[in-house]
Amino acid sequence: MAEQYGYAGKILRVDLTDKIITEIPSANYLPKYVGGRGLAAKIYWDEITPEIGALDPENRLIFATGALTATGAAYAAPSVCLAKAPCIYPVSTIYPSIALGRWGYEIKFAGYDAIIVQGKAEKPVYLWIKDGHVEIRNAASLWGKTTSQTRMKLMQMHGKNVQAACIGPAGENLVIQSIIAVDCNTAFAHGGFGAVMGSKNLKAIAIRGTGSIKVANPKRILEVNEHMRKVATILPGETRSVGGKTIVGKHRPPVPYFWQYMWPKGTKMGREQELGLVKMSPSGCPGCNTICKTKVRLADNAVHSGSFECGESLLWAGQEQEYYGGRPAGRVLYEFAILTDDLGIDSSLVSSMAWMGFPVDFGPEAPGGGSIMHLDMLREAHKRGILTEENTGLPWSKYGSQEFLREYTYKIAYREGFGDVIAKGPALSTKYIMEHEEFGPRRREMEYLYQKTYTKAGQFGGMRRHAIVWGKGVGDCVVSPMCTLFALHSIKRGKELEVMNNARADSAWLIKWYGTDKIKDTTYWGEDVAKAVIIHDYYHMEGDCATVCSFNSELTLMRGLALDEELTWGSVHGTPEQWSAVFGEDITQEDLMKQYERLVNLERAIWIRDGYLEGAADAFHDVIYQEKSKAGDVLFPREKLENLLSVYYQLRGWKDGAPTRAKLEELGLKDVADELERNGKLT
Amino acid sequence: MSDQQIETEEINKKRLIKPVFVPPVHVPLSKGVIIVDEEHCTCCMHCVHACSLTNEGVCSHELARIQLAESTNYIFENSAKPCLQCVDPQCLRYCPTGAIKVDAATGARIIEQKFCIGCQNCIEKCPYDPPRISFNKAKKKAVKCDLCGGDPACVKACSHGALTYFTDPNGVQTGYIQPKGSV
Repeated sequence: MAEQYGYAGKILRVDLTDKIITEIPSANYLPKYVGGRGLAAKIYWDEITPEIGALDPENRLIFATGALTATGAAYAAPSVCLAKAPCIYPVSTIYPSIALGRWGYEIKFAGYDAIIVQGKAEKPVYLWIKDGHVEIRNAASLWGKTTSQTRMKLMQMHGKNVQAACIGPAGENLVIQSIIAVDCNTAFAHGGFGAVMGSKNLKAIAIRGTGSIKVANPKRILEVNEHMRKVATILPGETRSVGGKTIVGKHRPPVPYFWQYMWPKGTKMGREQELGLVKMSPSGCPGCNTICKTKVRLADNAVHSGSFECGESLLWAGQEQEYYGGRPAGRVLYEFAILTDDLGIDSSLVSSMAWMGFPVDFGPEAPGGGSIMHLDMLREAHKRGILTEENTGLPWSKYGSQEFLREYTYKIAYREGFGDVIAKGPALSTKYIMEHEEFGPRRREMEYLYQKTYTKAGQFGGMRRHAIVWGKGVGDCVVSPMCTLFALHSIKRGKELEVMNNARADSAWLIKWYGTDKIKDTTYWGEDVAKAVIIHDYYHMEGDCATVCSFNSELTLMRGLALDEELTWGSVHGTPEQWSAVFGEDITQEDLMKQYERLVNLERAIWIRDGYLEGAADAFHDVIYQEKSKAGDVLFPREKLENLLSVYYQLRGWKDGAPTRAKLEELGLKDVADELERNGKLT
Repeated sequence: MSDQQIETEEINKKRLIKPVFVPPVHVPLSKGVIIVDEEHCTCCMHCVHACSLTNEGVCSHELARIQLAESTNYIFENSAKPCLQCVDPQCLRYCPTGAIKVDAATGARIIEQKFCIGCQNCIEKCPYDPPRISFNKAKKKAVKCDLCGGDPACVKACSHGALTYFTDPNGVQTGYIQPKGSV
């Protein structure tokens, strides 16, 4: 057998019901399904049938590593967690959640490309994996503990280099918006996978790998890394020689922009007096040159220290500013990060983007859909008299304070009082409020607020907000035309550039990347946009299969394209150069695109098998079609959008939004077509 | 007996080796050393990957000659930990086969692989934590930093400017020096 490059070669399967541990060869799935999200999607297709509920023991929790993870390729730190997600409404279906940090590296160095957990343990257990040795252990001493306590305990037991994925009280209590915390304060945040793990009585997975991953051309990987680093970190006005060319920097790189911005010098933490601040320092992921995190160490080192991402620390800033006044100075930021991470709650549940300059406006014509988060929705409901201090038990008069934050997060994590309502998930909690008289005569307005905040159906239905993060692709990704359109529209409006790179005016890279200058025209909805949507789909799929951090590669991409087209080799999400160096074959961008097309079709087929048919998923709520820009144009004209969708389906080779047999067979997915036909869902 | 002596004795019992006194050795100073600016190190592991890819041809954390202290995020005094090419190299002093020697060109303390018997004495005697010598379990040999022959891959790969390669043709006073009168 030829030498295996890039992959570890085995997939671990743990059955908690029967306590059976088996290994299957990765060759069953790889390299056809690439890795990461694609690999996990194939396992989902084979094993999770439509009858299985998200919190049933038979649901599979799949942790998959990307093709480039742990090969030394730059930016390839993320890994994927995929299962049938309980958060999605109205029908639970596939959802890939992405987390950064060392978790993926440890899995691969332990000898696995993926870990599949199925069944349900009788009593709380945790998994201990070391270099192919797997044990199911009693977790009685860990149950009930917060994520950082659990992690510290596991480190005491198994050594300080161990990596742990664990759930907090929220996951144990099956809160739908719960997370799986990995590495140090990063998480598989969206999808509700904490609840899936909790439903299996699995508290944690501790893993340590000391192996290595073979690569075809180690020297070339280092060359490519250096090339990408040079493009990504060049300063304005600086001259560098890259790939035999001389480039002059145009934009400021985000290093060390973020951590200084988040925690400016002299910042007083909310609990500094209580706990004693010892040290702050910059931090990032393995193999990355961006500093997107800050390590904070307090005197009680064990429990509350950790490394916090920009999002976590910024997203409470709006509320803080509102309550305490003045510039946000970190009074509550740290508290926020601790609470959401330790209790194991999705931090976007308790955040608001108001401070970052996004309008939070629930007016019928206001373009609010881009920036409204869950707490904004509840706040509006409070303003409208639906939620009060009496019927929720939350101190609304102190909205923005530490006290409010604590009450709100603890109530949700332990499902106390109103927290139990929120913990049902966004869609079901809205339904609950609408159906119960205690929420007053205006409670029916919750439906409108919900529709302004959450997407209609499909992969993000009832779960993801219409948030701007879609466009950036930070964290979880988008392979749904409607989400992509929304993202593209954000790009057109220039918001993303403004926030990400202070480079609003210079969108030359966008035109180069999407191959059309129509991308800047907010009134154009023709075929070029449909093509751009497809490029955007692949771009995200690429990031999640390789797995390469979208945030960094996008920055490198836009910076590179703005400087010189040839510098970026066509893509940055795991460039063909990286692939070729790791796998030893001459891989081109076209080859990769074909792979991603297969995976997009596979996910769409899963979606259809699970119960989303035709265009039902590809639509906005009616209220979104009424949104208007400042100039008074309709942002999403319904007729034009519907026309665009039919063009998109045509380009994809789909009929009424569903892949056809001819298309599936062309992509080597005959088995998928056969099963869809058996279920009567092949068009 | 002090705690340390008890510990040493236990280790010796385990390894069935009688404590042997080895006189300090006088070797030429290293002409170069990798210096870490801890303030700028984010533990991104670019150096670790570059080291294992360059020297072993695989990506690995264990086989890299440059290590990170403990877990990346929890222990805060962490940063990249390269070999300091000590003035009084304990690894060289206690190597039973003389496999560790001084490279003529760079002054780096290097392990000649064909003489290494995998006893791990050098790893045990390294005065730093974590030990700056790694152990290749597959080959049963110790591996350590040889400064890549004067052009360290880790320094080239560092994207935060935390690593620098400092050279002095007259030798660098660096790393561990045996305290006076202790032997």
